[in-house]
Amino acid sequence: MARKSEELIIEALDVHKSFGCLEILKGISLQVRRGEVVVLIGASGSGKTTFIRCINLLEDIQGGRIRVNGRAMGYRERADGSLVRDSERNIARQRQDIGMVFQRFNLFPHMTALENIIEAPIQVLGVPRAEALEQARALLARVGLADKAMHYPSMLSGGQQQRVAIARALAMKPQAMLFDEPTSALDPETVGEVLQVMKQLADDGMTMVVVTHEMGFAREVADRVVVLDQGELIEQGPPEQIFSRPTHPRTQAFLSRVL
Amino acid sequence: MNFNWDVFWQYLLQPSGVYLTGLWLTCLISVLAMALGCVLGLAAALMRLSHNPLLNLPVRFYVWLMRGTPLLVQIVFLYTALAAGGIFRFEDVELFGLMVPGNIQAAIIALGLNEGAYMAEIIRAGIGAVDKGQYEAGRSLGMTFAKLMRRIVLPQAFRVIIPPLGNEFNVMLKNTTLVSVIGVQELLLSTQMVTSATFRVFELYLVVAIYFLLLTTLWGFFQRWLEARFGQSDRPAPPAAGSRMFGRGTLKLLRGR
Repeated sequence: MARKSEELIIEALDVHKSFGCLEILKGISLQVRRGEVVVLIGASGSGKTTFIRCINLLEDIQGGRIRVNGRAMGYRERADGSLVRDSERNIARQRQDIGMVFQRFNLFPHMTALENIIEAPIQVLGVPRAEALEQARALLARVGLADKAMHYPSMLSGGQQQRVAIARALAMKPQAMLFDEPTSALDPETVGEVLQVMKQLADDGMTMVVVTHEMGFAREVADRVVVLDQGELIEQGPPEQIFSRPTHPRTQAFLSRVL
Repeated sequence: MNFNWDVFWQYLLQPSGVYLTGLWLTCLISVLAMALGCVLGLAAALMRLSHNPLLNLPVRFYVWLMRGTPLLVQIVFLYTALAAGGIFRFEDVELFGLMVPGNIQAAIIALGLNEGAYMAEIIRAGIGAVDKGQYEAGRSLGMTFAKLMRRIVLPQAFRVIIPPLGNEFNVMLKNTTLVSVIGVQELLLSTQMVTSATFRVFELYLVVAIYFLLLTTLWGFFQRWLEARFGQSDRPAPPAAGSRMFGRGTLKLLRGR
């Protein structure tokens, strides 16, 4: 049991989520092992984005459990196994383990690229400023933006902003990274540079859960492709299997529309 | 026309000590009441954002009360009515070796309380103008609510708040005249005192009007500078300035570098 929980970074069990009486997630279970790259695909409205937002508690869930590093997210387990909502401080602590990259980048507009990256390490982890700066410069170099350190987000292209956002998330040294349609808000010509950075990250062994419409990326980088439809996980498997021999009729219908 | 130019020029250019005290008090009361209003407004705005009715209901009541009654009534109520009712009396207090009369304390508190209600709404709107994605980004980086507010949301809200805040201070400068009713010798009461001795009402009220114009104009220049410096939400400050609104940079700026 202990060895298994070491292996699993993200463990979602029967996750239910509703907005009012509209049920978005109808019991989704997903396990992600260390170093694995899982790509979630599915039609819009299928619940992919909602699901990864639930993983780091940007959305409350109405049922099921989410564990990260073997620890229940957002809830403390009492001795008798019942769940109580965790304190804000603990939830904030748990989120540090999971980096998140948003569709709309969400860089802090009042800070330079460098300041965006050092903000959380200094403020949240208490890293000394000099050390945070050094690390931030290395991260900027890693995403190919060493020369943009002093630029404000509004002075950067979408692709550059998204790469800064990836560096910002990496600065917290997360156990896993969540990508919520990271290239959907980008101009076509800058999509490639972001995917390149993500591929590099996958090659470096980062655990990743990616929601995307980039089937090429899924095919090339994913260890496992997961298909969601109407709030249900309908099929999962290695990319070649999903893309070449999908078994579920709804997967076939979806893929025939997008490929 | 009964107008004496000599009196006019004399009081405009060589104001007596009574006038200068009035001018000083007007500025002092405005600044302190505004500061109090900002602090109250910020606290009220944050409480108002809470979903907990124990926090947001008192704020709604406070804003409703302050905006629904005349400021003049609030001032008299706080200083005179409370004392007359035997509930609370403002006593003169010695602060840093300086005697602060009770009516000046009441003036600052009454104006500040009133201002707090308006600032609460302004700050709430400013916070509301910050993109939701900023909260999510901050949260996903493991920030607690307090850090998120202080480092991410408020600095951005500040840019939206600056223009209406400037207007509020302009109004505040002029509203200080109301505290003359509780005997605070600010500009207006000083003028009244001088007129009752000299009977040069026209000249002296013209002078006091010009004084206020001068104050609000000076403030207007400062406000324009503030807006140029901080009030831009789309265009970033030049990289050289590179300061966060509530961080090291501002403090340096406030200290005059």
